Amino acid sequence: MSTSRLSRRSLLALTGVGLTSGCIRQLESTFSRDHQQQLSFSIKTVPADADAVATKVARYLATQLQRVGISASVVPVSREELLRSVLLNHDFDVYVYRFPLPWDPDFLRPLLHSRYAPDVGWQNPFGYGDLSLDSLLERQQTERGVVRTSTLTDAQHRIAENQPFTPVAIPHTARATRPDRVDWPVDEPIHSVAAYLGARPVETRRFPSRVPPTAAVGNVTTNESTQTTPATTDTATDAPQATNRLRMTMTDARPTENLNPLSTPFRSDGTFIRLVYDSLGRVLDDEMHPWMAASWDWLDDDSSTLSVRLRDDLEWHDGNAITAADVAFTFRFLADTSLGSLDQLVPSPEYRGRASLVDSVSAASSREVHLGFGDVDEAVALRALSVPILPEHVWEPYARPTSVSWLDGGRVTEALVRNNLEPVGSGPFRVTGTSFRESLSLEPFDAHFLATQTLDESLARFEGGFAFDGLEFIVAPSGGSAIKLLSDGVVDATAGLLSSDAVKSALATPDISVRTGVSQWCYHVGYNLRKPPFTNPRFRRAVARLVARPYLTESVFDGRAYGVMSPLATTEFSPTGESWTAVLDELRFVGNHRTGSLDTSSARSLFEDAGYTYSKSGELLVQR
Amino acid sequence: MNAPPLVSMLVSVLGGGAAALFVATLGIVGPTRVRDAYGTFRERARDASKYLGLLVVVLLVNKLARDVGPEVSWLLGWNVTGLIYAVEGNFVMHVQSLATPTLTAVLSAIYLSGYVFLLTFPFVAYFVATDRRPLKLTAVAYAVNYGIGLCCYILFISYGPRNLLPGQVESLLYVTYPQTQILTRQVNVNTNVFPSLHTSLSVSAALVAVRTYGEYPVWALVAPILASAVAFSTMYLGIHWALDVVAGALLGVASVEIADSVVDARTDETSST
Repeated sequence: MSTSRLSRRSLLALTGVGLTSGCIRQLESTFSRDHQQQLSFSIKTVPADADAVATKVARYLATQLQRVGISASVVPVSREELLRSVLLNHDFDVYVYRFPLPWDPDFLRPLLHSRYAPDVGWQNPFGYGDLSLDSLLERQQTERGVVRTSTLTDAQHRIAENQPFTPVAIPHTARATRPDRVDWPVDEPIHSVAAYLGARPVETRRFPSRVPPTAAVGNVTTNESTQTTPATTDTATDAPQATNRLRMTMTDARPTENLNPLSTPFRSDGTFIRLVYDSLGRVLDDEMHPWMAASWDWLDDDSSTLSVRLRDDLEWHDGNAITAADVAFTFRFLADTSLGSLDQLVPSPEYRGRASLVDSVSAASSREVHLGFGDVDEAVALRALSVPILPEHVWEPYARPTSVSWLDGGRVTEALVRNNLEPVGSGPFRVTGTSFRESLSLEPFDAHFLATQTLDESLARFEGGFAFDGLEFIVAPSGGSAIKLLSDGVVDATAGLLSSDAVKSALATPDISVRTGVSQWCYHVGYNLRKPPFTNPRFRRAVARLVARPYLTESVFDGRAYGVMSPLATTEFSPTGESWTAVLDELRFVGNHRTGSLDTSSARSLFEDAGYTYSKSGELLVQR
Repeated sequence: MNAPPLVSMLVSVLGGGAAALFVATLGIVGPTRVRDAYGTFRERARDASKYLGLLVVVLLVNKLARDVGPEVSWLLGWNVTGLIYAVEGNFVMHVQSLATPTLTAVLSAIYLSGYVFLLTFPFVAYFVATDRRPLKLTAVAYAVNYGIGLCCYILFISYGPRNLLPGQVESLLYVTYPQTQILTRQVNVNTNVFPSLHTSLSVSAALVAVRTYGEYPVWALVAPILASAVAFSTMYLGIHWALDVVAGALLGVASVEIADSVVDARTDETSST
C-alpha cells in the first residue's frame, strides 16, 4: 500500500515540473489520498449441518457488525476446509469455531506464544505476538500450585485485555443412548476410550425372544423388557453372537475419510485416534496414568530426564513387537516428519505443543526410553506422554516430501497428508474397515495389554476388555437422523454431540435417554492478526464487546453452555477478584446482554475511539 | 449396516413414485397404446438406444464425480453462499412462513416421490408414443442437465439456506422426517445446491410434456403443475435458495434447447446416410 502511494506521489511530482508549485501541492494532496471505503470482511464458520451452534454464533456476530457499519458476511465452509484455511494456510479474516480444551492449561502456550506465530495447527493460528504474555506462558510451565495459578491469572488478564481471540462459550456435551441395550460406565463421557472399554451389553438384548415376559421384577424402572439376568451366561455359548456389536452414530464423517493422527484438518477431539493408537500415558480422572508404559521415574533431582519403561510383550496391530525404538522414533518424527530429509524441519502441527516439551529422546534398552525435558515442571512435562506412539516400520517410509511437492515447494511430507485408512496402531481397537462417508468398523485387539496383562489399580476397571465383538460407527447426517436410527434400534448410542433440538427429540422418544457431560471445547471468535484491522487491539476489543454471552448461551446453546471470557473459566485456574472484574467490565457487551440487543450508538463510538471514522450513511470507513 | 433404514426409505420413496407411475400409465398412457406399440418394442429401443446410452453414461460419470467433485471444488471452486444470500436475503424464510404440518407432508412427498414420478413417467409414456422424438429429447435433456449441473457443482460451492441460516430457515424435510436425510445424503452433497437440479430436471420434463400436448394432453397439464410444486418444495423445505431455483429453471429450459439441436443433428445425420 505504502509503495504505491509513494510511486504515485513521485509520478505527480514528475509530471508537475513546469506547473506552479502551489497548484501541484493542491493536486498532490487531493490525488495522493487513498479513498476511504467501508470496512468489509468475512467470518468463516462451518455450515449448520456440521455445527448449527457455530453457524448461529457467526450469524449473530455478522448482524452485530453490520449494525456498527461493518460489511461482515458469513462464509460457511466444511470442517476440514475451515481447519485447513485457518490452521494451515492462515487464510481468513475472522472465524467462529471451537478449539479443544486439554486437561492442562499449558495448551495456552502453543496457542498464543509468539514463537509459534509462523507455525501451523493449533499453534498460534491468530499470529499473536506479545512478549510479556510469552514470558508468563513460559513461566507457568516451570511452576506449580498457587504460584502457577497466579501466573496463569496474569496470563488470562493479558489475553482478555488484548483479545487475540474472543472466547464465547464452553458447551455442555449431550449424547443419547438406549439404556435397554447398553450399560455405560457412569463416570466416563460416552465416546471416550474408557467408556467404550467399560460399556456392557444389557443381557436382554442378545436374547429378546427367550426371556420369559413373566419375570416382572418391579423395582427396576427402565421399561417392560427389563429383566434380571439369571443363568444367561450358560445359554450364551450356543446363542448366535454375530450381532453382538456396539453400534454408534457419528455426525462427523471425517474419520471415514482419514485416520491419520497427524492430519490437522481431519482431527477433532482425538477419540478415534486414541481407540486405535496407544500413548505412553493416558489422562484418567484428570491425572496422567501409565498406559503403554508400565511405569516412569525421574532420573535425577532436576526433573529433566524421565525414564519410561514399557510394558512387556506389546504388539502392533500387524503383529510386530513394539520396542523403545518405536517410542524414540515417534518423538523424533513428531518434531520433524521429514526426519532430516528436507532442509527444514516439518513438525507435526497436531502434536507440536506437546512434542515441543521434549528436548531429547533415546532408547536406553528395548523396553526403556529416556525423555529429556527442558525447564518445565513435572506435571507439565507429563503432557508429552499423551501423544500417540507410531510404529517406525510403517511411518518411516512416509518421511519424504509429498508426491505433489512441486506445488508447494516441498515443505509437506507424505506423513502429514496420507489418509491412513488402514492404521497400524497398538490401541485396544483395530480398524477392520471404512466405508467412505458412511461407516467405520473396529474390533477389539486381542493382543492388547488390557486383554492380556494383569493391571494395576488405575487400569483395573478395564480388565476383561471390550464386552462386544465389534465397534461400529455409522454416519448419521444430523442429530435428528441419529435419534431416528437410535429409536429404530439400528444403533445403541450417539458418539457425536447432539444439538439442543436433537436433545429435545431424544428426550421425547421412549427408550432413549440423554447423557450430559463435561465440556471439551471452547467456542470462540478468532481474528487474523496478520492483517488490518485485526492488528489493532482496540478494534478487537470493540468487536469483543458486541458479543452478548448470556443471550447466546440462552438462545443459541439453549442454556446448555457456560458463557466464558477465558478458556480456563471452567477450570480451577479461573481468575477471581477485583482486578479480573475490572478487566471484564471493560469488555462488557454494549447493550442488553440478556436480550442481545445492541446499543448501536455506544457501540459505534467504541469503534470511533479505536480510531475509525464513519461515513454520513453510517458505514465504518477504512483507508484502502 | 445402515441398510435397513435406507432400504425402508427407498421403498417408501420409490414406492410412492412407482404407485403414481402405475396409475399414470393406466390413466394417461392407457392399455390400448401399450398394446398397439407392443410389436415395435425392440425396434423402438434400438432407435433410442444411443440417447438412452448417453444418459446412462452421464449418470455413471455423475455418480463417480459425486465422490471426487466436492474435493475438487474445495480446491478450485468459488464459494457463492454469501453472494446468494446477499442478493436474495430472507426470501426462503418468507416462503417458510406459509408452513403448516399438512403442507410440509404434501411438499415432502412431492419433493421425494413426486419428483421420482415426474422424471420417470416420460420414459414410459414416450416409449410407447407415436412420436419417437420426445423419448430421445428427454434422455438428452436429462443428460445435459446432469452434465452442466455437475460442472456448476464443481465451480460453485454453495450451502443451502438451512445450512447458512439455522434458526431462521428450518430444515423442514429433515426435521419432520429425519430418516429422509439418510437417503438424500446418498445422492446429494450439501455444497451442491447451485443450481437446483430438482428444479432443472422437472422443468425439462414439463417442457417436453407441454410439447407432447397432442399425444398426452393430461400429462401436458399435470407435469408443469408438478414441476412447479417440486421447485417450490425445494425452497419451502429449506433445501434451496430462490436463486438456485431460478438458475435451475434456466438450466432446465436450456437443456431442452440443447437436446433439441442434438436430436436434430443426429436425425439429420442418420437420414442423410
